[in-house]
Amino acid sequence: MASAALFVPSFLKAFEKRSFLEKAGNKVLVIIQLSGGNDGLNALVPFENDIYYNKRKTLSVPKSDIIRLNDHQGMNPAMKALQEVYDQGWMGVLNSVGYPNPDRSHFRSMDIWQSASHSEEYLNTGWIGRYLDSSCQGCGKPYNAIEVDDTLSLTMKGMTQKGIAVKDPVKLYNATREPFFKEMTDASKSEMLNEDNLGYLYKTMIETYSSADYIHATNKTVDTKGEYPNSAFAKQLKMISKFIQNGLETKVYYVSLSGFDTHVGQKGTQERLLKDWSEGVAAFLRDLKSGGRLDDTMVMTFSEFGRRVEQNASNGTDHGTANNLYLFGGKLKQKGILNEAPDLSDLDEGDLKYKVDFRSVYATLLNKWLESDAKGIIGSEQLQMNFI
Amino acid sequence: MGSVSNQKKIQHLFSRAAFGITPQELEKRKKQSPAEAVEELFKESEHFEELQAVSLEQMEAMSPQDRKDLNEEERKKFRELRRKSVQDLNLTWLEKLWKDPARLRERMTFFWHGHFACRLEAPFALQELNNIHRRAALGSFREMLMDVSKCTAMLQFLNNQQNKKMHPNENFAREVMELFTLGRGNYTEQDIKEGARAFTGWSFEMPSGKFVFKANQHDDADKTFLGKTGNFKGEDILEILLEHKETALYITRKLYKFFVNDIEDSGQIRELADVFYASGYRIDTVMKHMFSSDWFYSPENIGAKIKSPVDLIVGLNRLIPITYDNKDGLLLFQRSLGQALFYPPNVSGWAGGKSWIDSSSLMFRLKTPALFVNEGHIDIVPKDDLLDGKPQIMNDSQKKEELTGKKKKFNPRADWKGFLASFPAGVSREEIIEMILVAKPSSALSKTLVGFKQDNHREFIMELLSTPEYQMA
Repeated sequence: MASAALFVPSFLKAFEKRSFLEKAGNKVLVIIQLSGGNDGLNALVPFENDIYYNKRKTLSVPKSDIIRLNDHQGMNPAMKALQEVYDQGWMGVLNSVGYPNPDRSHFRSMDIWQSASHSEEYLNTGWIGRYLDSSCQGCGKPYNAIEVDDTLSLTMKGMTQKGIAVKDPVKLYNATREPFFKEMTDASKSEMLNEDNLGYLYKTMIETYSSADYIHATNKTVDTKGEYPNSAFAKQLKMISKFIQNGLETKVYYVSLSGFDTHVGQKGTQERLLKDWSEGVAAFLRDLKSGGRLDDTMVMTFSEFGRRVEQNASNGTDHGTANNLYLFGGKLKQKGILNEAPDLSDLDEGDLKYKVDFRSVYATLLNKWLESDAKGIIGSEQLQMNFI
Repeated sequence: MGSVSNQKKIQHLFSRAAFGITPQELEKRKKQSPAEAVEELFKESEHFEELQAVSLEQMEAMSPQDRKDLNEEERKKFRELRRKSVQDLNLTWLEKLWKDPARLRERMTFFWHGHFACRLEAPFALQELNNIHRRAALGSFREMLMDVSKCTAMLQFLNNQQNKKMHPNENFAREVMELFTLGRGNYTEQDIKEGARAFTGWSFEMPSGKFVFKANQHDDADKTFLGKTGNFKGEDILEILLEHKETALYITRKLYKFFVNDIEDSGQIRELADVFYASGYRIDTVMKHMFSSDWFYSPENIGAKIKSPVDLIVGLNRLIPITYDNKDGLLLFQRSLGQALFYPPNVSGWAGGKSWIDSSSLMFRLKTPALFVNEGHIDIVPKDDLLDGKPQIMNDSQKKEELTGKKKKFNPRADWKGFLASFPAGVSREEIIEMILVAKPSSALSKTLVGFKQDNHREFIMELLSTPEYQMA
């Protein structure tokens, strides 16, 4: 019977190559997913473009309300919390981010963004999962990538390594201290674990136990001092800020905000969500700044697609294609609006054409921010960008 | 490696071919030869009942004739009706999986459900597809392939699912080849284009959804497909695909991974493929062969598979009878565990195996049995299931409320009295372990169980159900 141990004797660890996790130092990537397909055109508005007003007779944001960022684009007033962020140079926006042969179905497009696949490929792993796989052969920990949720997204699942979903670290800790679970875990720690499926379950149990332990023990020193809005989303960012400031060895955090699928009566819903998002992000960045960690943090906000240029008959918009992508942090090399506003006269059957492949954003973050090697994580060759 | 007892073989057979076996039935069958048990499983499934959650009248009520006359409010109402109806379909089939006496057939239907994965907001069409799977589940794969390819659900789903500007039939041809028959790498892009031409004219009428061949839309010229040339129609393409042994290999590989082991044994798979192909693609023949092979009962296959979420839920319900005040909670469980009937993540179905497990999902899975049979409290919120058109603007507590029902709570009530009484008199601890767990307890668990002080069987069984071993099939 095969019985290979799943642990590496500590004397061998000294000879291992330095993992990417160590090379990246304190650098942290925070990914914010806006689920449902945020209408980018009403978030970052091309206020100088008549086509925008013609195609959105009732849904367009009035010119006078817009918070202008440059001569061509400005923010929806609901995003005013980001004005200070923009002025500080902590914000970068990429227009027209998408991919070839776009898919307009939520779950398909979200899969594509999370797995960084081609639009005709079906991958069972996500790009951060594969980052975990590549960065540390067998010595990675689930808490190296934390998702603030009850369940783990595809993004965080690799072939052999996976992140951990933690909505409440105290609850997680208590769950792993439940008597039978604790007993089983203790008993299995001293046993040789098989490499089969049952062994995998025990290994995962032990990792969960130690992750809960680690988070609980490490997350104690610093309490965040910043003021946060009173929303579930902002509280999740606050929790991430606390993790970062307490020096958790976590490289990637993942959090989502949903509700952006505004087919009907878009205005009120999107404004509320944009406000929630902007105020949360602004508070998060200020908090990190006062805790001295803003320079180590990069935040990326994306949505699985944008929406159609023309509004529909229900005062909303339908699924589209390319969209804006937002970057926040203290160490952006390029700040502000990083490329041209979308060309509303050159559409693909009413939809925006993409100019930047989202995978090149990922590759840049992997290579330059996480000091990893995007080759092998992102399947195809990608252009290096210069925002960091 | 010890030899496998007959009782363990029987338990293993039912764990894979059905959704597990009760201690009561296992006690009856423990001296029976596996060959005899296999015969009985097939016999049991000769007669079957179709899934009937949505009636034709209901369907017509949900699919108005003149969509153009509807305003957005009305359209929204119909979408809601259809959405709710797919949820009903889910719960009705879930219950059927643990109640239906045609166990092997339901299990096979579940397999085909993942193989011909389809996601659509059309409950009647989905039900029709499900019944096609059921009818042909243990019959002819050729018939299954033809019927599935021509059914409304698949035509709609594959023509529209990627919602691209490509010619719709090219997508259809691609998925039929890549996912249903040959598998990737066994055809060229040119084959797809040519195959697509043969499928032109395949359509369905509205609102009945009935298949219709539109001759005037059909490309009548010669096509060259997988090395053959002729004036092929869609049916001819499917026949050519079946002529290729590669199709038999692709299907049996999937059957092997679902029913035997995640790790492929190429010799055993080839053996099954040969049988499948030689029989003219008879599913009953290949499955009988699998269940009758010595290697099927080999120790490395027993308790070796990680249960799928549906496996876990259905297995529990087959083991101990449970009644519910409100079954909507079962949807919440499926979503939280990562698998919901009629909601495959995409055309390639569910990946299975280790992909079910991560730190968070394992914690939840280990708790799931207790939540069902110990009247626990559900405290997990699954991710939004982004079905097009539904505004997802609920916060967590609203979601929990909607999914578990404020007025009529989930309230699972397990019949412990009946269950405990079903064990043979004077049953020992070791015997209970043998009957509840298929997988051999790990040394870690054995250590833990030795020190277990509880006097009553219910507590002991509860702990067994909460082990990683119980997560294995």
